[in-house]
Amino acid sequence: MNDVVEAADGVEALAAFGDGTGFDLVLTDWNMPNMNGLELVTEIRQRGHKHPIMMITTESEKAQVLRAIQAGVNDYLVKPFDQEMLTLKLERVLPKPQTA
Amino acid sequence: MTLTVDTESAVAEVLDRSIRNAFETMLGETLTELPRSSLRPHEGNTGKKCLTVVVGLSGTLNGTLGMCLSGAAARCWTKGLIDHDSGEIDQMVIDAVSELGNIVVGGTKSHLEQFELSMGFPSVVRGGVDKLGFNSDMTPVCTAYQLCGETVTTLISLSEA
Repeated sequence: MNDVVEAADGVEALAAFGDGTGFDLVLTDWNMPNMNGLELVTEIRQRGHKHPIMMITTESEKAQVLRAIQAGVNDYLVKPFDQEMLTLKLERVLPKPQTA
Repeated sequence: MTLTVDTESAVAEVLDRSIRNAFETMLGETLTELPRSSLRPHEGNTGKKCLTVVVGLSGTLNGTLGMCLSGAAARCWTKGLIDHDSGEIDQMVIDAVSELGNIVVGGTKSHLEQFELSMGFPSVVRGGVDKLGFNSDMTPVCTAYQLCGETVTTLISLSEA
């Protein structure tokens, strides 16, 4: 990943995301002040954006994972995680580069 | 109401697994448990160069879980997590220790589903366990570990609703 834009909470993230131009992926936590990750995902999907979204969180109960998937996340990574797992998930969720 | 022995043991066991998992997965470090003790004045991590992260829990159990790290242990964690070490306890260290609280308490909560717990956001105190006060019916139980030659102490201060 060449460019990463950080946000402290869902409100900042939504503002930074804008119309989604230039972004390949949204990586979000669940528990954040002001607007949590679930609300952020819901809002992005309600606005019609199809960007891949991955949630990284401590919430691992089945019901919570289901809520996240229903809201529109493409993949889910439970903390703690190692570099290898993160890389595997990113490779799976990011669109493959198109070949000529 | 004070925790029953069974509940206290269940929480302690899950918290132990969670903190070990956090350090092993993210740092490749194995914690060594030191003899367990109930909190008494001046025991556990004390002194200025400590950071203590506390996270509130509510549900069938109410109270606080926390971890106290010596300054060096906090910097060791921060270095492993985000490859940052300025040689002092700066905001990045505070943020990293806050995230440690989130990871460990979040992991603990996930394995205590029977208590239907909600957790708050972590708060970080610049100081050791001696800087914290507890309600009279929530005497904390502490477990000390060794990490990178330094001390990390978990604390459980919970009561049954």
